[in-house]
Amino acid sequence: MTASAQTSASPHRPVVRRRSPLPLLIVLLAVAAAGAASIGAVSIPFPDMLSGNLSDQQEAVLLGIRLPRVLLAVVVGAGLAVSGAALQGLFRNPLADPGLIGIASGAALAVAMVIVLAGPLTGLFGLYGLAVAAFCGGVGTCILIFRITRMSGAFSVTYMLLSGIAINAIAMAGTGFMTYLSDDQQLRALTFWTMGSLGGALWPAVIVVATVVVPAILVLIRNAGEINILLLGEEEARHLGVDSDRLKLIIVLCAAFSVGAAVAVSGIIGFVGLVVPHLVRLTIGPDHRLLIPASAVLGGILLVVADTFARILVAPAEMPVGILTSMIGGPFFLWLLFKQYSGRFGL
Amino acid sequence: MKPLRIFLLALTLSVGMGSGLRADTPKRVVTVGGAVTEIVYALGAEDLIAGSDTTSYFPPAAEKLPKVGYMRALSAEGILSLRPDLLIVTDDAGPPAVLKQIESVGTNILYLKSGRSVADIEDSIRKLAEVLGREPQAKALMAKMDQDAATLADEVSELKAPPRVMFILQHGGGAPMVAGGGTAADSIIRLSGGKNVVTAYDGYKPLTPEAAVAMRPDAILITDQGLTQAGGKDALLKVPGVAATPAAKAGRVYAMDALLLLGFGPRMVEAARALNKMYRAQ
Amino acid sequence: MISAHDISRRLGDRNIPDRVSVEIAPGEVTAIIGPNGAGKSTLLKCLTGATPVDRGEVRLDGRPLGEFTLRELACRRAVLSQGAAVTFPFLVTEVVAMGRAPHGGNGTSFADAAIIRQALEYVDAWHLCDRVFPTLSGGERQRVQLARVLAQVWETQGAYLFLDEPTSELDLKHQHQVLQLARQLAIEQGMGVCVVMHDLNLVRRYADRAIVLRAGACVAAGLVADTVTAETVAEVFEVAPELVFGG
Repeated sequence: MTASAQTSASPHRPVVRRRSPLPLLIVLLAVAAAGAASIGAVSIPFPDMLSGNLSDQQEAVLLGIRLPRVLLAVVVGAGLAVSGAALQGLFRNPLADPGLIGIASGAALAVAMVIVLAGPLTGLFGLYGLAVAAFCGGVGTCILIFRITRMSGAFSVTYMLLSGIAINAIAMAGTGFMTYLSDDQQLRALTFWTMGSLGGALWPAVIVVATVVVPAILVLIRNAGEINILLLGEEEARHLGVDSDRLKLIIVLCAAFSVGAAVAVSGIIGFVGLVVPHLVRLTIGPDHRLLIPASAVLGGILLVVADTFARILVAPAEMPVGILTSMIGGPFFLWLLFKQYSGRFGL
Repeated sequence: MKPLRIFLLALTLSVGMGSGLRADTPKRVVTVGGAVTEIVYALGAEDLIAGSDTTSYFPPAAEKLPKVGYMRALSAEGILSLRPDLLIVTDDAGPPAVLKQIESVGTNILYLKSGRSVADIEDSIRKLAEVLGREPQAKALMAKMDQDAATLADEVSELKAPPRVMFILQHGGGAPMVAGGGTAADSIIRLSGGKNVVTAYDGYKPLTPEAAVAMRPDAILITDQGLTQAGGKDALLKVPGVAATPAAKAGRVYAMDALLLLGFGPRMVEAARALNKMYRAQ
Repeated sequence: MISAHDISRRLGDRNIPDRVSVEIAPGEVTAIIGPNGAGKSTLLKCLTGATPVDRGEVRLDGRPLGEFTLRELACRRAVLSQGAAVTFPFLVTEVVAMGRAPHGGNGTSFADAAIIRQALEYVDAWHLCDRVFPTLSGGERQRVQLARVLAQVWETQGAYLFLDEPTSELDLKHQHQVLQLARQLAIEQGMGVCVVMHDLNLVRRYADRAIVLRAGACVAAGLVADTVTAETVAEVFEVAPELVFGG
């Protein structure tokens, strides 16, 4: 174990040996998206789609309804999964989820207030009244939690978790109060919103959400190496030259904006942000330089598939996709936990 | 934003022109809302219905129609897969983005007011008859409604005093959800010559049992569905708050099908008369 | 040279450290010793810049620490804190590769791979390279973390190494190995090494200088032979010297 060790340090082999799953995932995403574009209540066979041999109705449905919806599913799924991955890194806890920083509860409160109190006001933003409210409520609540954490002096992740729990409770109480004030119809509208759906996908929504989510994902990928180092602990990260306060701000803002945008157009879609990064981590390890892009693609795949089922299971009606993701995600996650812990701790 | 607008405009136009062949009378319609579906049946135009929503379950044949989901959570593709050339909705239907998607692919939507007066319903009947080409049937239907309304007015005037009625939407075990002002229940109670005991608030609210007793309702009104949920008439009358009311002591619980009672379709006068008959029977 | 001049930090109603002046010189191993709660770790944190001081100043080669960017500091000194935890299933090599981050490496270059291997071999942990970090034993983790810290200042001229109780979870063999390594780095690479430790026999054996703290204040500082004496042990640690040094 002396200096002679230096001479024995060959042959060198690359240290990071984990293979990138990205090419495979991207192919799967393309297949899923093509399948989703062809399957639905209105049948559009894939060969006809390629040859352009479509009826007027098929073409109208494909271009005006199904394509924006599939793209929205990809973007929303990617945004939720990447935010989950980044927040799990921030909280150094594989069970963290975007709900922890108040986006869902804040968005729900804002939506409830608009539905119940400002019925006539929604006309101000037309079709996008609820989306604007959800985005502002979600991002606003998240920033509030962040500011409260900062006020405690040291910006600690534990404080952020605790103030998040408190603010979430307050927001939920507010939503409960709005529910109490609501009439029957408002209640139904609110309930359906919280179950999550991609049914209202119009091109402008897709474009606006993509312009928020895609840059956020890119910024997080750029900072992925530093997120790895943050996992050693905040003090260690600083010793390694990482400005951990700046990094935490970046993670929280990127997550808040992409989840806020996702919630705004699709309501609350659970479990994608929790399960997808977990799944990726189990297969390729915790390195965020791979984890974040792979989560983005896998999140897109999962939501496209889930939304396709939401469209076809009870056609011509449709199921809220948030119910589907939670119904599949919940048991799956339990199985994952059990498997993982029984493997590691011999349970 | 501008190129985007142009792109969307072009998309809408190209799509709109694609399905530009619109016959004057629709061949296939999807009806959303129990009242809408009922009117279309009453006009004898049920052959045109390709599908309806889950709130359309009268007449019984309507239950067998393909269902496009709940009226506030419609799906664009589901509706379009039924290939309607007209979608008929009330202004309660949604979500708005889905209706916009449907319009954007060139399917016409007829919006009707979800009114609660005879005049509102007759207005909807007139509009539907015009679009579906059923004017003679509409005339007969409206004549019968007018006649019934006149009879109802006589029957209402026969009441010595308007009975105090409390409508319970549902009773989940906690505080009962009771109808205040501005609700469909409030409207039908008035129409039938009764008086809603709740004037203090609008909408449906959970009422404390004490307040329910203090309001001294002469009769409890509930839907058949709500009564089943509550475990039947006897169970309902034992519930705290209900038990101590004059209505419970006299055993006056009026139950009626939800769509008939609150649907405000062509049978609204019929519902009001049935209710009025119950008041007078006691 | 890292020098602290008259530094204090308020901690509740006390000062820890309390007006301490110390120097960490290149090519030497300096031990910080003292009873529990004397402020050893806090002094170490002040010297690394992790904790700000309320009075006095810490300088690296004459420049105040505050004037360095985090990255510049990271290239000059590495710190092994107590209880650094990794909850995610990183491989051992991935953890050590993080030490190369300040130098712009992501651990994939051949040069970095060589450094990572050498650092692991130095701490007798190369055989663990394919293991998942959270599954290691406490002592193995401590050695791998040490390898990460070594990789950070590998082949850096005038680097400093701060180790907070690096042997707390090690068996006897590895305690000696690690401290021998610290000495070797000081002699061969001219590193300034500052170690917080408890075992006074190890201090006498491997350290050049010692800083003795009691209640935040510096009781003695200087060559080990002058500071870690029977009198110090009796006065500061309140233990009979023959119990420590075997009479």
